[in-house]
Amino acid sequence: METLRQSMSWAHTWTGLLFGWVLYFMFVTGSAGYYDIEIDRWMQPERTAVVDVSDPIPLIEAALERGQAEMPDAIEHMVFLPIDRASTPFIRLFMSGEDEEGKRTFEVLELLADGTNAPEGRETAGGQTLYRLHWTFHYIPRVVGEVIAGLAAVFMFAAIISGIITHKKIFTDFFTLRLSKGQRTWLDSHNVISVMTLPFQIMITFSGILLVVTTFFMPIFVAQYGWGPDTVKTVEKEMFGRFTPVERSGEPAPPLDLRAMEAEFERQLPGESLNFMTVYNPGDATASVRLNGAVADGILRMSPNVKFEAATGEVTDVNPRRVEDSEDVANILEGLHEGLFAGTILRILFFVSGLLGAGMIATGLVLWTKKRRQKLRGDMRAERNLVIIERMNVGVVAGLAMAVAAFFYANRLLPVGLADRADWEMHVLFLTWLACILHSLVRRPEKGWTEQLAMTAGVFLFLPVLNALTSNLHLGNTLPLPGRPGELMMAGVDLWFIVIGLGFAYAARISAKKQVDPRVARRQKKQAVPVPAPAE
Amino acid sequence: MSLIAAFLLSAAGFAALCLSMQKHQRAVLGASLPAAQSRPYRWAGFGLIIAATVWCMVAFGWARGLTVLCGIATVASIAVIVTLTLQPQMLRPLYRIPRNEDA
Repeated sequence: METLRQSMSWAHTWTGLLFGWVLYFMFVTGSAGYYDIEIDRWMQPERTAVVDVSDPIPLIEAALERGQAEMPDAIEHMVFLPIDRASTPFIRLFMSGEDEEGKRTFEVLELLADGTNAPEGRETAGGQTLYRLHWTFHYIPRVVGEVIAGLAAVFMFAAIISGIITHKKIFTDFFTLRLSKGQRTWLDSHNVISVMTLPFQIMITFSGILLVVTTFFMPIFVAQYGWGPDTVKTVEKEMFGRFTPVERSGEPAPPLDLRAMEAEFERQLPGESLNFMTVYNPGDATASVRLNGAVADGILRMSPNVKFEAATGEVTDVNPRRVEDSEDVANILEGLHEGLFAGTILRILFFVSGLLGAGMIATGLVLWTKKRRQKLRGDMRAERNLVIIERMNVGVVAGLAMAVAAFFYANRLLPVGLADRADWEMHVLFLTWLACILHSLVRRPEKGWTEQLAMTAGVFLFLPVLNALTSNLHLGNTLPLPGRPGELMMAGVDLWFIVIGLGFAYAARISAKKQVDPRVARRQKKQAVPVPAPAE
Repeated sequence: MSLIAAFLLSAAGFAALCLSMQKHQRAVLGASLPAAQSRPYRWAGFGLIIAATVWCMVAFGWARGLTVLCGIATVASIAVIVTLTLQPQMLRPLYRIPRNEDA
């Protein structure tokens, strides 16, 4: 009879391969997501103006005044302050209203401190599109992407559990990494990476499932609410109590006392910092105001807030950051998944753990082929399939890294006026990946690995140079040095390019060394004995 | 500062756990120690990791502290493994204490 370990080993092998490539893609692009905003800024280096938010009240007042001028009969005006890792260095004003047919309309403006328009940047897909890849996969409909991501996450969870059971000596081999032992080395690396990052892997996978879980409940929604374009909206409204606007009275409102509200916000929610405020029915006597703290100030993924009656300044509702019900368990897990609360060091740890997750899958993929190759015993057809997988692994693993680098090149090198520029940045990413996969299919895997790893190292190491040639936000200006604050957020992106480039260079060196089989080397040495020059 | 302390505590903890295992003692020392001499390392290892946990929870609050600990422990344990694999002799100084006792 099959033992539990044997059946788990089987499950681990096949679930691993089935979703290995998809999961590798998800880990690489998802890890980049920990620096989504940094990448956004890197990709629009011409937008460097930073708004001083030490006294937010005049900024909010200027923005609200602008809102009144732009959309006086709005349902809501929302002003976002550029604190910490805000998605732009400017103030953002969201306005939503209703058109003649009663449909909601939205408009967003980016403003300077005095309420005038912020400078426009080049059109770019930015870090947001890069990080969204890990569940949208870009070219397919949203629902399909979410279903693939969700299934991959479920299989990943199964692979983690079956992997733990299959790992025979999780404690005895805890510190074991044997080098230069072929398949054994791959297995050790796979185990070491997986075991060391286990808390992160379990967290990221389980919370990942939770993040797309509503998509999986779709059939239930459809059964209850029918199939139609408004299904999701209706469900969300009933589940989460979407805000419904109060009828405007038509009476003008007295001016808002923002200072008093800010003071009350600080009194009600000590330790929270004001991140954004919303005015419902702005300019009308029925207006109400909500002041929100930053989601990123805590692990619980919520924005604590205080609501006010605009006319009287009376507090109508207070929602502190507090764990109350089971929904908050999901909010904590999703908060951990996104890592919005992470400061510089914790963000580095999140990113490194994510990359190690990609490494775990990459070593697993290589291991898969190594094990199969041992068991071939002259089966021609199996060998042909295996060769394809071995070669594809090169293009998928090393090629994706190069493709991500190519995305950054596209941002700097595509002409600024190009139509659909943001789309083309994404096309460059996927075309580069495709090119790498095609290249890997025609090269012997050992050669393919060395070439693509070395090339990837090169393109990453050159990125800071490219940045310096095409923008002012290069390390020469951004690196914090004694005597100048610099811009660590921007310097960090370039520094990561260098670290990643060096990592790939090291990998390429190992790969190049391994190619020289000792027997072949000896033979070559013998042949290299100088042949006496033929007499002239 | 708190992060460096957390890293040092957990790295020391993993190093001590590693040194409590005969297989790795051979790599570091060239010979394995009797069980009685290995045991203190195991206790020290677990003790230091618990200390790192408590330290993180005190320094960062329990929620953020446990998150930080997971990340730090990952990096610290990988640092120990890489050292053990590439430069095992670098872990040798940690064996001084029992050998002095013997002498």
